[in-house]
Amino acid sequence: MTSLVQAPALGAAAPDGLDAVPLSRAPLRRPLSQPGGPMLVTGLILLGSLILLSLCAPLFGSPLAIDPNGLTEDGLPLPAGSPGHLLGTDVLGRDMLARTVTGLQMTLLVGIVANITSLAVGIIVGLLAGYYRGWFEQVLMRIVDIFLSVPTVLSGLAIASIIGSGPLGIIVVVTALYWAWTARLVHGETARLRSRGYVEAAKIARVPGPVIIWRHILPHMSSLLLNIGALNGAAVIIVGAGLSYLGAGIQLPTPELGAMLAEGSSSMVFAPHTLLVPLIFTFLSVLAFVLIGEGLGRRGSRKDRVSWLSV
Amino acid sequence: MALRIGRRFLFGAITVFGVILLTFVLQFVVPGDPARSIAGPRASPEVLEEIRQQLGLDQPLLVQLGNYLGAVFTGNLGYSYSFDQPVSQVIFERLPATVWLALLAFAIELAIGAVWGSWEAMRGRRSALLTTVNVGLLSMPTFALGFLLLLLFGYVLQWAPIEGGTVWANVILPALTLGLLGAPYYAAAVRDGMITSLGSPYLRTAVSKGLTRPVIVRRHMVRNVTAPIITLAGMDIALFLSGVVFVEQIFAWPGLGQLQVVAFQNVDRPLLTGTVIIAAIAVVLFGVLTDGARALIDPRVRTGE
Repeated sequence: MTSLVQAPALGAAAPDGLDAVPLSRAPLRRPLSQPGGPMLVTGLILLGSLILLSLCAPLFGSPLAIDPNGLTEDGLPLPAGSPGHLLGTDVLGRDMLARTVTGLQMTLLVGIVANITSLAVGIIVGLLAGYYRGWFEQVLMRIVDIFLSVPTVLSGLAIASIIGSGPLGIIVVVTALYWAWTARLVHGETARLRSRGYVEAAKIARVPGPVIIWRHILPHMSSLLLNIGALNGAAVIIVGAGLSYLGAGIQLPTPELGAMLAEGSSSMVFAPHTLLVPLIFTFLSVLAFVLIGEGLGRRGSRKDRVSWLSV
Repeated sequence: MALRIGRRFLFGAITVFGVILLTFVLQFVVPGDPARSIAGPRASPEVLEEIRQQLGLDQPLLVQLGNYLGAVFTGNLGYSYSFDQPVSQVIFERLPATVWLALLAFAIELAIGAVWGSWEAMRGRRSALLTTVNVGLLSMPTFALGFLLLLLFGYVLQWAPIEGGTVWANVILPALTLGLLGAPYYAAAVRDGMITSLGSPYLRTAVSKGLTRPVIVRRHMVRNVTAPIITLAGMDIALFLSGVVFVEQIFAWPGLGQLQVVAFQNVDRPLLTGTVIIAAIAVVLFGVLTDGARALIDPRVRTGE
């Protein structure tokens, strides 16, 4: 079977053997020369470094330890670049570097888990609604419409108030707010693939529906799913940090970038770094996902690129 | 045409009904004991019993649902504990402030988007600088940009007092925050619309029959760009209603967004869910309106091509 799918033997004539690689693998060899390649590689490197940094969090000391010498003589936070406190201290004299790195860990953890859960729900609903037509599709898509018409942050506060906050709460809230976007896109793509010849052939061969979805439809939208996944990750991190900023997510004293922003906003007049440091790291986390998503989006010939940021 | 709008209205009504149903589930089904979740963990049994009777919580769930739906459809969204006023009254007092903010933000993003998009279209290729700005804005959370603008104008340049209190600080800066974040979408729509228009046969005909440039731009290019912009504006309302929560909080603008945060801090559930219902109605209504407007402007939408 595989020999049928492979590219024609272009490499037979190639002298140096470089082109002997099947065409489908060529993009992996020279990622930078692909359209969107530099963005994708930058995004992956940035995301990798941020994850690595957040995993090293214990090395930077406790985020809750208050340094007795952590404030200036006037009782102000130490500025960034002070000896012993690379990013300065906050209003209580706690090390900003340790807090930021631990906060980054929490933000990325919540973002990545919520990204996976919202994608999973969205993909399952989208595939089922797109493959099985009729009233089933109508009902599922009306539910999707309902979730798409509630503004995310307004409803996020309402849901968080009822089911509670904390890491688990915020993951549930963000999943509830974001699954419908994926569901709508996956539904559209499934409905398009449903009429393909190989799906028809599988149906005639009496392959059960779930097997067709899993083996014949899902693999065909893998590049779309990667694209959606990256942009969804960006949106989810923004909302997660945003809800924590508003007090509806991770609660103090646990450091989280959004919650640290809220703390920093009250001291930004006399110590701007307490606001700017978590702000920059929030921006970088989102930027990594946006770069990956936009980079992936430019590879395909897809005219309407997926993008639903700026919450 | 009428059928199309009628269908949209029907689907919109179903959507709003679904949102109301969801708020019911959130308020009365998800918490094991709604009376306790309203009164707090330290409430006495007598108080709990009183709340249950007052809200009809001792009746079967379906009867409760009927009562709830009946109340919402007659415009009664419940009573706000923290403001000691009916929810609908609290919301409609705050609504105009948010509408003003959204209108100003829309004007800003449209202005930036039109200039940016037509510049890119006329240039014929993507500019690296603009791509960078675009990716930067896409990655910028609303609250982050809001704080950056506040720091820049209030702290570094000192044009706007950081405590707020002036119209400039309270409206222009939040509107600028939302407008800047929306501008890349408008720029892309304007650019794509103009590029399609520039390469189209009707434009070639217009040029060859000797129309002047302003007439071509007005009659052919602007109309071609208007339809996608109306679609964007229709989707913007949902983004604005989320964005205002942050900017109103940062810039102390007393609108719906700030109201929702106050409601959250006071655990004022009727107010929290009431705002969601009003927001969903606004989103759905806007969707129907912009769909109708698009059909009026663009004959291709009418005939379903």
